[in-house]
Amino acid sequence: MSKRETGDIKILVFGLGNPARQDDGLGPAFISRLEKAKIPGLILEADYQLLVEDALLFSEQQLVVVIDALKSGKKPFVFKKIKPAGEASFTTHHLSPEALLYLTQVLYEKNPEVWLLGIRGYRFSLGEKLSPKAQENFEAACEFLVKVLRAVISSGSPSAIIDFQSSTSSRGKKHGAKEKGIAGS
Amino acid sequence: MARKITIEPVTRVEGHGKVTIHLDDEGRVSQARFHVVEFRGFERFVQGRPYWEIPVLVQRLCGICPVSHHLAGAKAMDIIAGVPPGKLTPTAEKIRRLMHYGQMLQSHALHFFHLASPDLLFGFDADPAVRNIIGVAKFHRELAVHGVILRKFGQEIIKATAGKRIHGTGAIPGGVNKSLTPEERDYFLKSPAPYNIDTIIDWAQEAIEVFKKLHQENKDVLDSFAAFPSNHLSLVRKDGALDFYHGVLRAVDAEGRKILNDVDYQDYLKYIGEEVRPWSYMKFPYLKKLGKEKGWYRVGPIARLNTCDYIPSPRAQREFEIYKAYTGGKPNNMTLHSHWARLIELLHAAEIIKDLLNDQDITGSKLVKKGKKQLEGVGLIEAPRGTLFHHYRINKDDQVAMANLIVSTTNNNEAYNQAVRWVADKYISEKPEITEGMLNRVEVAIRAYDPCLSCATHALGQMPLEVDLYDARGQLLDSKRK
Repeated sequence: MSKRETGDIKILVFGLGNPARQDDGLGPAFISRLEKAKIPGLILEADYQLLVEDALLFSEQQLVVVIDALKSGKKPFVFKKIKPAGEASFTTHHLSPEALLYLTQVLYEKNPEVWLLGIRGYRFSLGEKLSPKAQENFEAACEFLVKVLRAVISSGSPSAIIDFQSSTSSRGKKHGAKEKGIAGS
Repeated sequence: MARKITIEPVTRVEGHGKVTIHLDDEGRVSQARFHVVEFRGFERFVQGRPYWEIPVLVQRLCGICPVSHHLAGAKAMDIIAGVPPGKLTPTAEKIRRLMHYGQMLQSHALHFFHLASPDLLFGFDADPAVRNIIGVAKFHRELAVHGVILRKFGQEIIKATAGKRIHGTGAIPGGVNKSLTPEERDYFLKSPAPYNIDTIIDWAQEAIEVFKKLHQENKDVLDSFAAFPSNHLSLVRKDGALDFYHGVLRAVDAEGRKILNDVDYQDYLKYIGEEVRPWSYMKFPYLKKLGKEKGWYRVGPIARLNTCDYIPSPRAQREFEIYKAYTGGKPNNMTLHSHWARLIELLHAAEIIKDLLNDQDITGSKLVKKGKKQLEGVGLIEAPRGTLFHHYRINKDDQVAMANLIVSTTNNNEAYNQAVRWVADKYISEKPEITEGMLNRVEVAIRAYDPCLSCATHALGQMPLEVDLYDARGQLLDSKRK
């Protein structure tokens, strides 16, 4: 059972994917990296997919960051705020972050802020190592998200993400936060 | 004009399946097949790995039932470690059982509340925008919440026994590496409702009542849809009781006559053959005694309740008696009754979890035994979707030299094809167009067995539903996607 360490804001970082499927393991690898970074105030989870019971976990947070591999797109990674979506365009052995947020609202009347960090992967067959290019993207995404999380923890509010995005975008380091769709989706 | 209908992949099942239905020039079904389009390759993947890594490594086969692979792999490695079935310490065996029944609880809850109930509550022809878990949450909120909590409870049992949410290391060759602390045990026994086992048992019972009510209202459909006679295979306890963790292999035919009479699964190759067909990566297992043509069988909840003599927990046994009375004590071959059987198993799992939590052995400290190393072992377990075989040989350097896995979905391979054919004959033959209702019926028939096809790769944007319609010359006539 995950334990929150310190901090006033409730933050869940959830890595999705199968480590035995090469770049599909980007999400769990990210969680391993964050465990080593020992950033206080985070709940860290990794699983193959989001499932219905995660609505309960989502409902207990103020901020959720879901990390998953992308199968297409030109950017190393994209970072996008999730809107709830109640449509049926998903399978239910796993749920999309959009559908899970919608379920969280319907079942628990809670509305955590949910962001998706999609990291571009290239190889998805059996194997335990990330591809070299995915590893590069992983490092860039790690550097980015750790800064974001520190900014949020420091301010105590998820709104710090937008401030952080604005400040990096003004310095020419925009990461897709204002894009309409996430690459590969 | 002859047509070919392709449904790829099947939604609301794990992985990538494809259904092709070939129509002849008169529009009648000439062939209906359920394909698996991805080669697993996992048996080769584990070759060369040290045998003690297997219980952890094989969890990566499947994102839906990793605990089943964990325990089947561990049972095979027990034998290789020289600790055969029945020789584990009481604490080790009971912790493993607790883990497994926790998984059975969460997996069956997911299937009924979130995969099957939309079809049953809203009807096969309901708007697909409603006929899903979102619809259940909006219009049957209490049911959806029960499903969430039942799953959550099962997940917490798995975490407490396996050590982690996924890739747990609880079971190791010859035992387990942790037992429960008294605090962990009391959490499950004494937490305020709904997070205690008594509430979970009550809710499992309520779920059966939901099904019974739906059955009363839709008896014709639930009794006849995709129903066909078959053989049935599962583990049973030596005395014939339902047992998900260990026992002997029993197979019965559609009338209940025994085909395999409680045989030792270490000898499974004497009894089970695997046929390769060129159009599918998934093999077709069969009972050698009956041959390839007649020897195919079903596994899973409906098969388990057809093979066992009784259920060793009081509330589930009462429900079992009602269930069996419906078919006059004969095997139940009604495909959609698998939901009924699954819910009875859900109740049984909850009752057994309570028994185990109240057993002082689960907080014991004798966790592992050692024995004389062997070079070969078979581990068998009843996974939520059915019988799961893990068979390994190791070399003198303790590396895996051979692995053969027959997963539940493979055991049900022919049953999927039979179900698809049934639906195609009834709902697609001689129809002018492919409707959402027709397609969903194909999915409903497959979903009843809750197939789990992939190795859990699922990167974003990978799971649309595609429907392609071809004529006899292979020309695409129509294509639908959702």
